[in-house]
Amino acid sequence: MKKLLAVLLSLAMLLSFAACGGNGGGETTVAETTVSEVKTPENPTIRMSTTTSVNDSGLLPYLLPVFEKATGYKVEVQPAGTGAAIQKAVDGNADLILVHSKASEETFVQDGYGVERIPFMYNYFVVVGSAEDPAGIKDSANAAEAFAKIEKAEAKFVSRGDESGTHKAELKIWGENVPDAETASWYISAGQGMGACLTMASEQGAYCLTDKATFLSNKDSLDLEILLSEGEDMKNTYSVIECNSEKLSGINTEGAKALIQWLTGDEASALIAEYGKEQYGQALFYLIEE
Amino acid sequence: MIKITNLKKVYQGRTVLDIGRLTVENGETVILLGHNGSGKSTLLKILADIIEATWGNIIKDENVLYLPQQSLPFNKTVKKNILYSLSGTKKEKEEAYEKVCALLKLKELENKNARTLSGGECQRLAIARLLCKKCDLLLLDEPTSAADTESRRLIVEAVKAYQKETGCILIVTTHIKEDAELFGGRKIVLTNGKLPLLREEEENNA
Amino acid sequence: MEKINEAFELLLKTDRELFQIIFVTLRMSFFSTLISCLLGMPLGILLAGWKFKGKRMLKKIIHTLMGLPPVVAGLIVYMLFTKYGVFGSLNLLFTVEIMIIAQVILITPIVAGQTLSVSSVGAKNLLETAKGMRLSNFKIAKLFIIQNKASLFSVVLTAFGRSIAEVGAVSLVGGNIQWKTRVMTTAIMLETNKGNFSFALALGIILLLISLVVNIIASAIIKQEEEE
Repeated sequence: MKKLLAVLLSLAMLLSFAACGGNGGGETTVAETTVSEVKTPENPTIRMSTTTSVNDSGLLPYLLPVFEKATGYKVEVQPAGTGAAIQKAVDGNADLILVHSKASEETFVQDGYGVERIPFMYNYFVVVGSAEDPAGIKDSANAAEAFAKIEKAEAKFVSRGDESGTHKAELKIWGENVPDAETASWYISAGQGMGACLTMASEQGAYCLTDKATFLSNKDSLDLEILLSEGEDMKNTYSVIECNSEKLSGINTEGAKALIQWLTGDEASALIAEYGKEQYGQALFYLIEE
Repeated sequence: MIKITNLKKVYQGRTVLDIGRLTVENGETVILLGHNGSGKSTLLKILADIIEATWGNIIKDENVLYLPQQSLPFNKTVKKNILYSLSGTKKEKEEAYEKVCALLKLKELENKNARTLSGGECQRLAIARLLCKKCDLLLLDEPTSAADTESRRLIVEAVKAYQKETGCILIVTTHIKEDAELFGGRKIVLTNGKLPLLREEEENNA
Repeated sequence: MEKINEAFELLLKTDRELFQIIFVTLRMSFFSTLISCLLGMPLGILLAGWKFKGKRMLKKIIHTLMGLPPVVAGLIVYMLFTKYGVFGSLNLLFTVEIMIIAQVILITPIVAGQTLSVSSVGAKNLLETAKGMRLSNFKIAKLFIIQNKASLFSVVLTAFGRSIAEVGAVSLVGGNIQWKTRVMTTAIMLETNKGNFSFALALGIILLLISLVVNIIASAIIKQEEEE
């Protein structure tokens, strides 16, 4: 029995080390400088509704512990598709949202549910596909050109099809030429999360528009390569929005404000700029310079 | 012919059947009598290959038909119940059916679901499902227990006619003395799974 | 209430796609139920009426598999049929066929287990009667079905219910592809993720209505059977 416990314990430790693997070296030093003055706030729980991509990329598990240690808050992250993430906030089940879909965010604020839309970081969507690149999109100037080539070649393309931020970005790139999934059999509308869509694209040798972070963290199990990146129409902006306590009840305004302040502050900025460099050799998110 | 030697059935540490020697001649009728739990049904089940003896030796014919105490009416019409028992061509089956139907007066019931029959009708059907085919050894466990007078008479007559025609060995258990008389034949009383001492000696001398 | 009304209006607007989803759902559920019953019922009856080597082990395996989480069943099928999997060359991933395969793996043990418990009631009596009549093994097996028709019918309905309500396995191996492998449950999941909670609920109500209609038709059939 003791042996079994020991094995389980060491396994758990190993796993927790592995989970920390992506963290930058800055974390511990930052935490140490602030740890002495921590006082638990009155309402310590912050409910954050966010998209799966932010969470799955490992950014939040990397950032939030630092914030929690520094302030004594406890952040409950609820990852969901962008639509559901916003809907949860509309229903009063979140204190702030962190999403990447400009139009929906603006509606959210206009309808009075959000206080202010604060864009604070961005990255680029990338077009991935099999190494063979059957539609020859590699040298395209931007995503719109690549998509046009894919359509012309009728090469398989996996679309999120779930009205998520990524899906909306994809629709924007198609513009008026959005393929009809009913008639165009090469256009696969999967209606699933980013990870599932990438797996499907890998299985079918199809193209897919994805955020870089999710792709890089799943790369090892995928038969896909980045074929096009950093076109001017592929920018992906993330914003935080505090939920409006005048419209919704039970909002932890202090907590939301504190977290937003921290996320847009110098400490978090330094951490975000470092994130991914160690594990992937490149930054996954960039800060918006004011 | 049936020859049983040193037959024993032990069930959960209790000996429920213990027969040293028993012989039944071809064409003979044996009536097994005895209280509940005396081993009558157990003996029939062993002869019908429903259960296995703990040890012992039995020599008998393979072609056995057996009526359990609780024969199950199948969820079909009376006619289909009997036809289900038969194999062969459609014509052969129909002939066998008509014959056994007349014998046990089941014709007017033929389109009724067997599950809706009365106790006596049900027992007539159970007998009919056996008598429609041939056998060398017919084992009937309480064939008349739930039957009314008319059904009992029909069953006894049908079984006797069948035995006469096929020349099979007939072994019947019953607790109704009157029926034991009607069936006729050799009576054997089982007590706690054993044959009477006198009988045992007779068998030994035979 | 207004929201629900809105949702139903939206449903009617997208009716062509909705009918297609319902059609795929029914096709998948029908074939999963049919195949699971064709495999599971004989197995359950075999276990109820016959002795053979390894029977106890088989019973244990079936009872364990009855609790197999759908996602695990989906994962197993996925691993087998992925591009570099054992059956990868069949190109079945993300088709309705593979959804049926996953569901058969999921539902067959349930059908077998329930058939076993249904058939075990009164099995001793049935076997004594049938063996006493010298019926063939095939006829005895058929008797188990004839005698337990009503209970086995509810086993079929259970299988159908499991199949139509399942989401974990089918979304994994089917992929929830629009106009191809999207079924009611994965459509509900998708609408939920989109944040269209009332539309998702409306789809859920339609799913329940489909189940209700199937149940009504099924009990009408069994009633007619009983009366014959």
